[in-house]
Amino acid sequence: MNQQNSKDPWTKLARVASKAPALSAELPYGFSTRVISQWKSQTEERTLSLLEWFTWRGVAIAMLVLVGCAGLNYEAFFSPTETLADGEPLISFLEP
Amino acid sequence: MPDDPLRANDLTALVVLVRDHAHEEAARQLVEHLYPLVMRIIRGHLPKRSSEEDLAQEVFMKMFARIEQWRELMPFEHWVSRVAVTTCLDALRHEKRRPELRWADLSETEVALLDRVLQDETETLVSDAMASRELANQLLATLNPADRLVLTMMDMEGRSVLDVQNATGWSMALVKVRAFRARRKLRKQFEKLETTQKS
Repeated sequence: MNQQNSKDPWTKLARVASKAPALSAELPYGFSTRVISQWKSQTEERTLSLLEWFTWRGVAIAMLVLVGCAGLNYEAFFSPTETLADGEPLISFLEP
Repeated sequence: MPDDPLRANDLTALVVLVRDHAHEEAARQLVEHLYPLVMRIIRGHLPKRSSEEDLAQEVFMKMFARIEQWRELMPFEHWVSRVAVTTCLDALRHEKRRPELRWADLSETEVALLDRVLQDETETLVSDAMASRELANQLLATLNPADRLVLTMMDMEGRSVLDVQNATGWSMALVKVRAFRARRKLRKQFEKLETTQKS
């Protein structure tokens, strides 16, 4: 600012404006309480969303395990089963 | 480090308490301690339609959210100043409209004041500091946010290039170039006002 032209209208205006008294910066009533409660609620939200993320991850892993188990036991589920022929006694079917 | 930072009001210890333990009382003391500093920055760079209290709240929320990024190498007040300056800059960027200052928009006091400035009657200006600040803010509002920020800090608050560099993270050359261009724009604004006054 010192290097500027002192006849420049902006320089003059700014110099005078800077002499204006500073406005009071008193903390408004309840301001810090408001800020702290908002900060706290955001921290809780972050924790909750983390829990949510872990829950969804858990569900995804459980689904993978389920699909894996189904794959491994494919034959047990889908292999053609022997059926009881007409007139065949049940006991002979169960004990070949 | 004192035994009880809450009583000693040790800023670094308070920050550590908030950062590592989310300590509520320490957070409250931080807000109370830093409010005047944050408010001074906000008042210097406040967009026209923003509430200074809302913006202050936003600054403190950012401060708490990013407190882990602070390193003890930098004084905490400097770090908070930077958070406040960037918050104001973002708010100014959201304010898309840059009003053009016309002679007809000025109040009687402002017209008289501007007349005196243009007529080079420096002595009569001193009593009008408040009106000058209002007029200077109106002129600054015609600039883009970065230019406005640089001139507010350097010309209105009397801060050095280094201060602006610390508060914004811009290089020294960039700060100087921005200040030069912004002053040139304002000079043109004055010339325009002078022309409209005469016509």
